[in-house]
Amino acid sequence: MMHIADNHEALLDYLYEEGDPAERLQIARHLQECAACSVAVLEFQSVRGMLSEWVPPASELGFRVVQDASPMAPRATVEHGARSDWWRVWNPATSKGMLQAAAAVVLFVSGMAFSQLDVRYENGTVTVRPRFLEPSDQNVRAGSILLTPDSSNVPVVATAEAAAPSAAMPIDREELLQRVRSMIDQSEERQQRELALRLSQVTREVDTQHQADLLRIQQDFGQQQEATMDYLVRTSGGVK
Amino acid sequence: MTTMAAVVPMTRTDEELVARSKTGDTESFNQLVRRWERPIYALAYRTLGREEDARDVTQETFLRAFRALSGFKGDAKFSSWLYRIALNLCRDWMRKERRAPLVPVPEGVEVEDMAAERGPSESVEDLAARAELGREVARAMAHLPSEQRQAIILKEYHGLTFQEIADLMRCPLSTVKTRVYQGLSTLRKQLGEQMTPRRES
Repeated sequence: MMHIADNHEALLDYLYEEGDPAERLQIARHLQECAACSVAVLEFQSVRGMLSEWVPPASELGFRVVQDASPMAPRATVEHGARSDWWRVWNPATSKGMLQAAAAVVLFVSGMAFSQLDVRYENGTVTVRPRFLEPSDQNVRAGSILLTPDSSNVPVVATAEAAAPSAAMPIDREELLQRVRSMIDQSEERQQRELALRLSQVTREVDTQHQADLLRIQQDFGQQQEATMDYLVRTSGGVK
Repeated sequence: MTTMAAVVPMTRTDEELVARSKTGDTESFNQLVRRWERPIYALAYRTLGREEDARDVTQETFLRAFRALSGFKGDAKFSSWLYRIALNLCRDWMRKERRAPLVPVPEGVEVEDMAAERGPSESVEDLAARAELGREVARAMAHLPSEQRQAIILKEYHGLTFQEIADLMRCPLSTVKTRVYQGLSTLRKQLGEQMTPRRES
């Protein structure tokens, strides 16, 4: 069989356990006989082991898609769970939402000045309204801050939203369950990923060690053979 | 009493979540985001070398995927489709950056970031050595031609088959294997110094 260093496709199939299993078996047998190929494979495996040490920095992700329900300008944005990206989505198309949110800030501050806030949570929308406003439907709409998913891009909204559970706003049980489920989902996925990573590292290390042992045994065996041959030559020479 | 089994939902496949997302179920799409944002971020980070850029690419990848979801026919795996969007975005980003005078060297992972992952018998020195090795690998990878680097990243860190990589990069299978082989050979030379003590240990 030709050296696998000269046949890179066979070498890669062997390294990554792809391709025809019969061919990989043939390569494994060849490796037992050929020290040069064993060394080459060992070095490639060592490179692969080193590659596993390059880990991306832990970054807060938690993206989620938020859809604007507005029939005038339907659009979607991807929000970042851990930081505010409101500046990213600033463009003429989103300025309406920004203005709405800016108005929310003004009203929120003025509402605080009166220390009379009425916070409600209905149909997935948080409504914060100064109590001095008349509670007729029309006025509520006109004077309220509507914390829709669109305006939640603005930091102040996140603050109001975060404060919501401690205010007079009841949390929907379904929503709570959904949050718990998503947290469990995320945790499970993270654990599975970590387990898979650990398993692959262990497998790789065991494999590398196995190859190293084989090589060492082969070298020892070669030395033994040489010593035996030397002895036989010397002995046979002495007999003559 | 509510048991855990009642709370934990059945894990849906990507295909099921895609089908539900197509009907307007944004929460299903967000499940796909949660499932794939780490791999996409890792792909972007290893391709671009900067955390901030990788996050931007990840965000943009999901936004584009969401907008184009109706056009996704399911011929390929959803993850392959996402990878393709992310790689295209990375390529665009690199084209823009090529005008810049400096080639960014990938940021390394700090020891404290790795501390959470360390094994029970691993010392701080071991951690520091691992962090340094990670930086060496990042530097060596940054010097590879982008096609070789991408092929190695997809193979080594994302476990794609050579055929999947060929489909993703739209090139013949033999080309992918050549790229991976050439890349690994270069790394083998560049990281050669680290190899000897590692083998002894």
